[in-house]
Amino acid sequence: MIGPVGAGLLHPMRDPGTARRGAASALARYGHVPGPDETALLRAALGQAPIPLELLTGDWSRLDPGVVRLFATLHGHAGMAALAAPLRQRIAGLRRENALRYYMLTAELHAVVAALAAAGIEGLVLKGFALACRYYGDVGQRPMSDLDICVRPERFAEAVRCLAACGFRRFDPGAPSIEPRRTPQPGIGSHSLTFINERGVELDLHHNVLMCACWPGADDRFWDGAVAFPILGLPASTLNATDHLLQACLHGMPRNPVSPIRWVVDAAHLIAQAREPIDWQRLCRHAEQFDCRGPLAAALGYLRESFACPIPDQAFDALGRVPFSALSDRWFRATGQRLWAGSALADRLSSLLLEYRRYCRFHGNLPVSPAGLTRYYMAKWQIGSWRELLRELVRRSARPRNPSDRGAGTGASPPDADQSRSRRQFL
Amino acid sequence: MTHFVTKSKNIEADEFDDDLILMNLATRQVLVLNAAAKILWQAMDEFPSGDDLLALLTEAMPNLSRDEAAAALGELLAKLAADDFLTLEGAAS
Repeated sequence: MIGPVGAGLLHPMRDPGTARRGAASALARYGHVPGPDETALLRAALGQAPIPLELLTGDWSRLDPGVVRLFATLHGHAGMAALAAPLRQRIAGLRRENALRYYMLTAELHAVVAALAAAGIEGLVLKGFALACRYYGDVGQRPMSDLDICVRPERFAEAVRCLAACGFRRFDPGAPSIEPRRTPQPGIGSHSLTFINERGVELDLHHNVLMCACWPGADDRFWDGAVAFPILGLPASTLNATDHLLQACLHGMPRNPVSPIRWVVDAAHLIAQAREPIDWQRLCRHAEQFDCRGPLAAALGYLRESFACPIPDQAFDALGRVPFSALSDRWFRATGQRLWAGSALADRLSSLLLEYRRYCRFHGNLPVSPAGLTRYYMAKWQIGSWRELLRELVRRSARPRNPSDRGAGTGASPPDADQSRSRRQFL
Repeated sequence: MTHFVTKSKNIEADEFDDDLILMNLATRQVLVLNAAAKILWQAMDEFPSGDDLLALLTEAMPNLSRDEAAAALGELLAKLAADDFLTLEGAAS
């Protein structure tokens, strides 16, 4: 034994009516509805129910990684003391891994923010890292696998160069099935690109905050409402709590190869915290601006009905008055159900058309035309000729359905950085 | 122990439970120190000599022999130096 200094020194590393009629069915329209085990775990994670022992005492390797990673949130649960010591230790171990991961990402983020700042580029830290820091109170309870940082669209290309200087290179999570140059061009049908460095740290560089809003000026309101979020003394920003809630709902609930239920805990924390109360009117304005009332109302209805989140009736009433187009409804259903991951060729092609039509709608109501459709996908996939485009379409249409893609629908639209990823787990 | 230790610049530290997390912002390395190592790390500001640190360790942990303590401290300092959290300089005594 080396002693206490040595051996243990280095630890291994819709509308309001929809909510009342059945929030789960409304949620099912746009994404994944947590099953009974997942719901029991979420309620325990929020301190609303006992720890689901049956789930925790089973074989973790047989569980969805998205469920296992949430076990760390039980660390502060009142029932932890009654658990058998080995189980307690496993949960504590998960929390510790989360915390270590957080610190590793902090060091990486610091380097990136420093490089961006040196180039005069503002960085908006999104998602898990910011949520863990600002709203969880215990960074070990919020699992995260990567970093998300948004820059203003006009500085995106420069930001890519800054990332390269920090040792990050482009990473295509879908590779080798998708050639790198065929990945979506940010700003045209995609909101972010994924990068990776030699330590395996992944970073999503966002051209836009939301996947559903990539048109020019879409993010102005996010930048205007951003709050200071310095990273070890370096200037950076993050979304305010209301905007985080919007993103957590819209990006969290779509189906995914890994259970995406973590968004429920994120959203519940955001709504429960008192430091920065949710501005429900702002959220309704977002719903109108981004034409996302359907999925947002479904998410909020589900949070209130299933987890008693204190969302006022007035918020639902106001949301119910927000228009929501049939086009966006179809688009959110297609992306939420991962129709592009399915096997039906007709659905895949239909999703391609749907995406293009939504692009036209939000880029000044551009006329929809076959030539425009062609130009859109040539620009999006950076393709220079008709022949290449045809080949790409055939290749994408023929791509086999991912058997591990639980709950995926049947249809198509190219994956973006968030959704195509095989959800690298660090657990 | 015949070293002086000098902590590197750009080191950030944060406590997590009983441990101390060290982040080297220059190399982006992260190291977790347990409670005993944490005390030694904090003591390095006041007692930068290896001999002083060894004396501190043996005093705080009388159950360790001097050789065991020296080995443990040597391992800690070597790891910290290898990951650029500090530099070990010359003979002191």
